[in-house]
Amino acid sequence: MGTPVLRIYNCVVDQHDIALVAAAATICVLGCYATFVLLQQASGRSGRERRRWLAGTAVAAGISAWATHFLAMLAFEPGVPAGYEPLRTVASFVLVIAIAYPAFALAAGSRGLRAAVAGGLAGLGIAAMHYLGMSAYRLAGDMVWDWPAVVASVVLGAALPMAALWAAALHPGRAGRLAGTGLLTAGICALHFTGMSAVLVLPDAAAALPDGALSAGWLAPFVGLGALAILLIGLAAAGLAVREGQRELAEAARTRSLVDAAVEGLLLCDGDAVVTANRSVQLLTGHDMPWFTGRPLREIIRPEAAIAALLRGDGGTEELELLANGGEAIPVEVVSRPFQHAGSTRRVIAIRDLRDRRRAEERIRFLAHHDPLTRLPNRAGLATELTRALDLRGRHGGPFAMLALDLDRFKAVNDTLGHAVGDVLLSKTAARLRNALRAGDLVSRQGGDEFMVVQFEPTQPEAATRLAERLVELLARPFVVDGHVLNIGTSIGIALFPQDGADPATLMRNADLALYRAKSDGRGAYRFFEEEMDTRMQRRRLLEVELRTAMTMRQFHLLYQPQLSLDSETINGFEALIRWRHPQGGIVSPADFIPLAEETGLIVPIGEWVLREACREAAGWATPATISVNLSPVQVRSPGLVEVVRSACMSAGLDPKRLELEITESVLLTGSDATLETLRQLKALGARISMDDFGTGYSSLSYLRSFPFDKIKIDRSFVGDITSNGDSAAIIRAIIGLGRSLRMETTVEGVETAEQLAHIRAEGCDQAQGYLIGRPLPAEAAQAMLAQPRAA
Amino acid sequence: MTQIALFRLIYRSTVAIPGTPDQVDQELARIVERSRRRNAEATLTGALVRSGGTFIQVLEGPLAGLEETYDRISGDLRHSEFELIEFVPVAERCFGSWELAYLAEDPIERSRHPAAPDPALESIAAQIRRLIANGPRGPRRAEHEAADALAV
Repeated sequence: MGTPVLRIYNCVVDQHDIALVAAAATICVLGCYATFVLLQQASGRSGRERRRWLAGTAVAAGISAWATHFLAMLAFEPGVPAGYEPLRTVASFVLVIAIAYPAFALAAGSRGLRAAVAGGLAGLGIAAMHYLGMSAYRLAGDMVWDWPAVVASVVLGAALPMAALWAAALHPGRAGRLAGTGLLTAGICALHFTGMSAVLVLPDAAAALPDGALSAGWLAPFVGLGALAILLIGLAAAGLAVREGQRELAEAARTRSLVDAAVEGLLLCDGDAVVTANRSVQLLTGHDMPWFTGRPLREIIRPEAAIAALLRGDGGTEELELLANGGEAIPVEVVSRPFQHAGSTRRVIAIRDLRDRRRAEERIRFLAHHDPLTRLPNRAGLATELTRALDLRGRHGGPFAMLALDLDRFKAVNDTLGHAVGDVLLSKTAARLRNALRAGDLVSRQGGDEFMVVQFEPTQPEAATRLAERLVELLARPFVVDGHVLNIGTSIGIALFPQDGADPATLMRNADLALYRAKSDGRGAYRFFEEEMDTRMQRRRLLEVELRTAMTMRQFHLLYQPQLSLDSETINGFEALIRWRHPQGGIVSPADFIPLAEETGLIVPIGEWVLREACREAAGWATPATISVNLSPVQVRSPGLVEVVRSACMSAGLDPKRLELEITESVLLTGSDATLETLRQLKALGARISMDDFGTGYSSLSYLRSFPFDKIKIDRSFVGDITSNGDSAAIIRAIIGLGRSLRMETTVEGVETAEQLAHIRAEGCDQAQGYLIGRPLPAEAAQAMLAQPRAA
Repeated sequence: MTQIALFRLIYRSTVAIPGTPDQVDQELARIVERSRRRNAEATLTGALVRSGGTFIQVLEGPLAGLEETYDRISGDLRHSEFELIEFVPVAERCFGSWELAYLAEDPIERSRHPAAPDPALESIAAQIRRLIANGPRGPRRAEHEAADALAV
């Protein structure tokens, strides 16, 4: 048996009790495992706690080495009586723990060379324990040492623990513990058995066991108890470690589920390679976890140039693209932050899907530029598209036409059948318009029932004429909505680029002006813009501004035209007539500004002023003559008229019975119940209601029946030729007769000659008004007239 | 058949298809073909009469389908001088199972096939004549009164 390995084998197998050797090895494994469990606990801690765990580590390592040694010694069968010197035996135990403590203190939390050096120190400590222990071994004979084998045992005893601690430091977990346990166990065993194989026992039968040596049998329970203690410590430590491991696992699972539950995608990166990806990123990209592991970021995030900055970033957001499985580039918002993980710096990249936001932005942009009902561009959308089209064609591209459309009878449909039907009608109108246009032309809904069409066709005005004719014809065709047949039709105003305007705004305005003309010329027509329309519109606009000024600057005044009672031959009433003293233009006739005032709604405040002024004036008259005030249809429809009349009478102190309100047939034309209700309330106040200008317009008898008027005023046109024209005379006679039978008074307007007056008096008319009786007078003159009753 | 309210529409219009007479005929044949398919889907029945350049079409069926078809016809620029003669609820269909009977009462066409008048088509022609003769129940063309926007 020449080779050392064989000698060790023989030493173990021939000279030892194998059962005890196995027990020693078991205890050694358990103890070593406990050592590493405790060492790992110490590594993660500091201060007092660390020292406590380190002490545990040193004790576990010391006991395992020491117990292994003595159990193995008990298994050793030298063939002669043997025993142990107690002091040295105890000293060897203390020595190993004393050396193990600093060794593990050095090892805890360190890696590489430091851990290896610590391992070497621990190994030397164990070797020292072994040989101190051997020096306590007493037997009946001599021990002869094979020195090379001794050296080999020390080398192995130091080298294997070095490897053990170095390996354990590599993996701070179960793998590290197991590797360390294996190598340290190997180290302890190698030291022991190599060391034992270096001993040659030369028995001396004469020699007796020296004094003071304890017998091996006495030692057995002591070592057994030690082993048990180690076992318990080992188990407890293992238990702790298992619990710790479970906690780590649970912690990891919790972290993982938290990471997976995150709505945002999370990528964990080491350098530019992905370590892990949460479920959100997997769902977002369609790639699974194995695909991500180790994948460089440049295969996931675009553009590649942004990745370097991303890996340097600290919390700033960037909008990049994420590459999905199908090759789709998903717009994402990315935030990257560094974080510490197991002593090294890693990076977490949070990824937010921007597609929903982009869609919402797209939708908002669409809504801002389109009419949701017809899905046509709206006013803003047209401006944008027009600008784009013009840019495309060049600012000085060919001519084009802008057509402003307005549905002719849309309001009636909306008012009678409701908005739902009106909305469907607008959608169907939009569909017909789309149908009638070429690709490249534009159509928009400007609001309400107004549409705008842009025709890019160089042969103008011929092309626009054809298109306008086509559109008028197309929209004149009836629509059917919910079984209702609706005839609406359209009017169109056309402005041409470049002669009618160089920019979209001017063109639209001028097309609108032409539309205004088309509508007032009779609907279902189209008109081209003309310069004159603009001037007229500007004049109109100026007048509107001046009219507003007139209200505030008190440029209005009233004149009073007398009315003669043909019964009493006295002046028994005046009609209040408004005049406007324009600062530059002199007196403006009501015919020139009342229509505009009605259109703009200014008639309401102007009318109120007239009512209050007339009532105030009439209240001061010498006789209780009536005061007639004209009401415009707009005024009658305006809410609050009844209240205005009541308040005008009250504040003036005028008996409402003296107030006569004149309306024309047009007030009744709309025939709404609200209008009749207003008239009824006015009458209930005590005011009288008269029908003005009767005989012109519709002169419908049904109007006379629809409301109990107090008076009919016969239009001035009949009295003019009453003496020469039999028809006029007949009409006046008929109306006077009608009034008498309906119990309504009659007044003839425009009486200028004595013959006319005589004639109507003969017909039985109640009252006369006209230049013969008196022209419209200033307030003072009217007062004077009442104070001195004129003789007929 | 379920009790869905039936409506009938009749309109008159003038062909405005550009091209030679042959091209016009081909285009018309295509239109009739497409109409028959669509009418079958919408359970519409009816007839299209062509006399020279004038169309008269009768269509009947449930309101929704009829209205949709009307929207398409009334927005079509391949005919002009469009006149809706009636769009009214009716008790029953007049054209039974005809998805679209097509009668080209073209004098030239007639002279080409002087014999063999199809009795079914003849009866449909008579039917249409009767419907139109029953009087224009269609929209009056009043321009002034707002209420006339709602002619029935």
